[in-house]
Amino acid sequence: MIEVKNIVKKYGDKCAVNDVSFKVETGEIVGFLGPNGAGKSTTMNILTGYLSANSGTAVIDGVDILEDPTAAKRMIGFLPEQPPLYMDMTVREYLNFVYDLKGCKFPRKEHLREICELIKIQDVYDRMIKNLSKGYRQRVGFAQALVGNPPVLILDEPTVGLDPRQIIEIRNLISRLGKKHTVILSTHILQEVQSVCDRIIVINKGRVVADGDADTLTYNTAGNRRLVARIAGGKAEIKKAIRGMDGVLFIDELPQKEKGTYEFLIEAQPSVDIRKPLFRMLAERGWVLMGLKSMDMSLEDVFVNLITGEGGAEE
Amino acid sequence: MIAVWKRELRSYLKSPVGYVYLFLYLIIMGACFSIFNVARYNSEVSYYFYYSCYVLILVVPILTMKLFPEERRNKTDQILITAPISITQMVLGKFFAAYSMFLISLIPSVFAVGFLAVNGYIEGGILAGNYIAILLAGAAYIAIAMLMACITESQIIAFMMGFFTLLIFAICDVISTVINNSFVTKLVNVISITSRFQKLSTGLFDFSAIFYFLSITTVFLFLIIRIIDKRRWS
Repeated sequence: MIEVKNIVKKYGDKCAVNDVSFKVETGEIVGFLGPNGAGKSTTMNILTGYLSANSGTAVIDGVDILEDPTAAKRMIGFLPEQPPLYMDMTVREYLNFVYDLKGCKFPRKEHLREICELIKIQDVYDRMIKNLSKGYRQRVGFAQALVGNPPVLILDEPTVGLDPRQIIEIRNLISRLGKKHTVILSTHILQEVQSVCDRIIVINKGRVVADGDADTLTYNTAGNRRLVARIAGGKAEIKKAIRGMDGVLFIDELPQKEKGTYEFLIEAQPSVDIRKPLFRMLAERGWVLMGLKSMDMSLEDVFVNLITGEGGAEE
Repeated sequence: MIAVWKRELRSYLKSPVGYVYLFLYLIIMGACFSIFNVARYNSEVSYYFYYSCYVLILVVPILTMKLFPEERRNKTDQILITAPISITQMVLGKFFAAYSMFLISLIPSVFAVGFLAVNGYIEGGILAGNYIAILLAGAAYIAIAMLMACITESQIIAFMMGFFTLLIFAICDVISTVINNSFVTKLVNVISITSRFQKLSTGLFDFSAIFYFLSITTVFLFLIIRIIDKRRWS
């Protein structure tokens, strides 16, 4: 559906986007993840035609954005970081204006009513946009992107500045939209990609540093294996004994949760499964293993790994 | 293009800007008409339009100052540029919205002309020449002031730059009489709006003057389109 090929964008000497390429299939919800200033917005602005790339191009459903920008733009609904709202219009006037601007051919009233019902803005339909709350403004921004029923939706940080309840609503909305549209959304909030996206593209310093679903990413970039063990016995001796085991890199005490037992965080080399030797060692010494939990790397850790692996998020 | 035109025109009619423009233009024109035509028993219709040509220098920038700076500040230019219309269509939509306001402000001139026709004598050719002149000059003024609005993000600066640029175009005749230099005189002959305006207002169908106004309008609109497009590349 969308194919981005070697996009480069420079601002003066600074390279905001450096040779970014990726593909998005029809019906996918792709999360664009990266720290602030990583080039997410720039990439999206290029895709939507707001900016031009220095080199490289993108093809949207077979239409090259350089060869036929108007046709490409018609296929994209764009919600920029700051929703492009005219404060001096009512929601009705605004959506009618967008309808005209995009040159839509649907029955106007029904089309706009459907969108308003989907986004739940019927009750503010005749209010001035400047009098709306931030949450409603964001929704009107969404409605604007949906006018004309474009097959591709590009959403730049759609949940920024919303309260937790609104964030959940917007996420649900994106999931629902994902059934009919191909969605690219950018964010620096990890739970967001985890809860909404089928696929994640991590971008840092203008480059794609990882591309895949959440599971693959955690598996591939996870370095060491971490365990949390709850053990009954003497604290200092246990610690010492575990530290002496093969493959153990690191052990740390966690706060006590049960009387007479101690919790430890153990980190082992990726190639070694220390669960069996740990159990045997403890049994031999007469300590009791009360619980053992494997701590898979969270997406958050993966993200930090990827970003710092590239040499710091921002200069 | 029509969507942009409709939105801008609606915005003029719903915000104070449009009314400030109409109020200022009509009140100054009314005063000029009373002083120079009515009070002096002068039925020369060219006077009315000739003053109009100067008054517009002050009021046209009011009309154009918000066209681009406001969009850039509120980031609403994103919806226009990412919409399936060309930049040319967007710029023309804005231009015609401002021009429509200008046409609205010309309606009351009918009363002034009517008053002169009843109380004096108006030659049809001169009247037509004056209307052609003001319609063409208005378009050129709007295009020039729009360019000034397009290169800044502040409405105040857009107004000031529009005002001063138009002032230069309009009063350069005076400058050339003060500075007696052949190069300056030549330059002034090229850019002067007022000398062409006067030619047309005598009722002379001067094709070069008409061509001048049309080309000024086209060149400035073209520059605006280029500047907006250029911004996407830098």
